[in-house]
Amino acid sequence: MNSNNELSELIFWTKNRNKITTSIGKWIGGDDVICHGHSMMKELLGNISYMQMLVLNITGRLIEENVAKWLEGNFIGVSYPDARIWCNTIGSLAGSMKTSVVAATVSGVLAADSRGYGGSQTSLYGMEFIQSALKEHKSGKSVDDIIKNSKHKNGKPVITGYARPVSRNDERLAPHQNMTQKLGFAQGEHMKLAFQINEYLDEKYGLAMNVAGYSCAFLSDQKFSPEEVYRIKSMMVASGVTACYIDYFNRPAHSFLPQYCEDVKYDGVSLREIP
Amino acid sequence: MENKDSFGYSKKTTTAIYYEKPSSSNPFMAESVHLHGYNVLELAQKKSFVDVLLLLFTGELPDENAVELMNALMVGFINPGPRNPAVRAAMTAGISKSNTPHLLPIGLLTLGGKEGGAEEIEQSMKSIQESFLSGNEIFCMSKLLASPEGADIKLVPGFGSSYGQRCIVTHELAQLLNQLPGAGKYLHWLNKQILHFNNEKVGWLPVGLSSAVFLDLGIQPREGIALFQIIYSPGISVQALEQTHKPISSMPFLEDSQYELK
Repeated sequence: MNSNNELSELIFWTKNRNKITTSIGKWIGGDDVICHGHSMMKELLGNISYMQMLVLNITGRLIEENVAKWLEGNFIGVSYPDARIWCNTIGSLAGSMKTSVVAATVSGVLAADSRGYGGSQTSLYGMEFIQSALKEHKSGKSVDDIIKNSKHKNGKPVITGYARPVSRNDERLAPHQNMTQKLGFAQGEHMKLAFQINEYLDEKYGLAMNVAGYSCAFLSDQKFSPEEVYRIKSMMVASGVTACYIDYFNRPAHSFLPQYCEDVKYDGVSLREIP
Repeated sequence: MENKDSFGYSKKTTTAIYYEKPSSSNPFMAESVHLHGYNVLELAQKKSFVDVLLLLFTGELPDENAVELMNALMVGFINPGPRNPAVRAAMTAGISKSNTPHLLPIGLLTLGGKEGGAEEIEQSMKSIQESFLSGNEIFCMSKLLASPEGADIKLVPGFGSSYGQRCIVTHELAQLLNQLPGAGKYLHWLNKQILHFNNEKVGWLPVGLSSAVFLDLGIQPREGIALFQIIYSPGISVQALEQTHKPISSMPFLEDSQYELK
């Protein structure tokens, strides 16, 4: 690489070599830390909640106390200390292997980065759905049209946040509704539509909104983007995982659901010899 | 309150890969272990690691040409080097005295991404399959659009530029693999396009080359994600472990003058 012309093609990388340019913040050794324009030592520490700090680091916005309290309640709502839940099973297994608490907790958190459960990645899809549904609704589409155009499986719509059979109670929904009311939030336009969708799905398919659908509508009304909520909720199952880890950490090896060989069913090819 | 209805889940985990014959005196203890039907002790005596790796991922023992191809790919990419972001992540953990068992997972998690990482493998394998089936060439001028930031170009996942040009070593490794008897239709088809396109700005990236080899070996796209992580694992591990033996100050820590807050 010797001509100036060739070097100019590398400018994108050379300008970033040995240099960080950012607007997120900076540690000023011995003095302060700047976080999205706020002073950590003079303004934030001691004055805001950890949830407000977490959201500030992720979004660059210092949210109101009541929004942070709502999010904290929402986090509590997935901190189940029950080792049957997939991410928590991993915490227990890690405890049984005497893994470090951080590895155990992070492993459980990673497991909950799932398209099926966990509240983080699922929020991405739930938020995308309700935000896109509201846009469509405002442009004149009926709830019937919105649902008809959504993904279907076995003749039923598959929408994150609205897959709960009506017969099964979601124990988190009523406390979330109470929390929203207690913290003084009015019903926003996403939430209004979410309840219309809920009513439609209940009537037509026997499906109902769960806490994911409710949370996504609420957080959309609070002007969060789907990506922001995925990021904010990335660690939300952590404490339940840690609880399950600790439960098995102090027990002897193989304490957690020990299995007979035959508890794992083999359904592969017959036993064979190498030709 | 307890749930009165059954959750409706299976009573047993199932697998088609691993069979343990239980000991007659202790149902928790295995008397023998079988992988896709083969006794692991027989495999240990008669087969190589790469043979058994491909057995695990495909369900069948590979022929010698497939093993040669996979072995060459694995050696070619065994260490992506200390400038690779995944390796750097593990090295950063190593130098900063993180727990040693965390080093490889840290590297592998960083490697999990969609940009040069394991998640891009699945996208790459699918896009190669789709292009091959439809006969649409990946290397064509219409796809060669400059990045607005002046950064790298990506034609489709796994193919494009690296620091503004074709990745030299990956290109040379591809030529080597392409000549092996185990190379199949995907590797040949893509390499022919690259040579015909003859543009030194774009070509094979490690993800694209790995994807083509995986497809030729009959590996499924999702399985390709894990296989790519396995291939990079030794390099991530040793580069990180090497740093653990050095003082924390032996890796650069940018000065304030090198950190600009806008």
